[in-house]
Amino acid sequence: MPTPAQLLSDAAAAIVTATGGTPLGSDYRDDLEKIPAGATRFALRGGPSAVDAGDSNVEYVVEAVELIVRHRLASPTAERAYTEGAMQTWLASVIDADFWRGLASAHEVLTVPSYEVAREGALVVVTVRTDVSVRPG
Amino acid sequence: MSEWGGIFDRLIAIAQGAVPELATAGRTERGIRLAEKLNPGEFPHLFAYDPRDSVALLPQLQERVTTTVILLLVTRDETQEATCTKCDAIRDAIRADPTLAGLVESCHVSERTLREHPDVASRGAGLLVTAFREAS
Repeated sequence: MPTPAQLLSDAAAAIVTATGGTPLGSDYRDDLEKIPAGATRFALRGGPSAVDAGDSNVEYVVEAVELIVRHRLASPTAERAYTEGAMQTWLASVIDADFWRGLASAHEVLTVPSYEVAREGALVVVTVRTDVSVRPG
Repeated sequence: MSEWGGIFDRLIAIAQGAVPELATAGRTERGIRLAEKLNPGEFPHLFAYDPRDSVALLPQLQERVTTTVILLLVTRDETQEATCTKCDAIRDAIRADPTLAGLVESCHVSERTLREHPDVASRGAGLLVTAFREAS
């Protein structure tokens, strides 16, 4: 039976494929690991945020998901080549509700994915947020 | 070439472009010594010295390095205005090359001062140059 943990596991595998990046060693600390130039890493944070009882007698655990993708630019001045290029491709995937709805353990996307982009030194940091209910099995 | 050395050499070249008299051999140097020991033919004179790095850690162990160096322009038997004009020219030339030919992300003159003494015929115009770069 799918669990919130299984949802995160499914999401991580799909994000690897979508972004070409790999998971960081920590989802919550950003002071432990160096990202090589040109590489992409991500943190995936999630936690049950509610129970959706809106479907007959079935209750669905809602998982609040926050995906933080960090791409280290090949050089600090190469920002636009990335943000107007490769970033567009994978971002189009993960902000599509179907990306999350298509996870084996997902039931429904309750909050349409949203995102924001920021620069931290040579990093382009993209944060995607959504709420996904877990399929009860 | 060391990182500091590259910055010094570029700043000296910029200063020589801004103040043509500094292009004469022996009128610029990396380091500092007493202006009283300069020969008359070595004026005006530019010293580039006292490099200092400070490092700020950014996320994912990135380092943002702030480098400061001092340029000291020493003139003798020149008016105050003439010295100030040379100092302006050096500052303006640094503004025109804010990456120091690609050595740093950005660079600017963050402080200027003019040192004068009533009993001494020389004046010293100091420029504190601050540069930023990503080191790793």
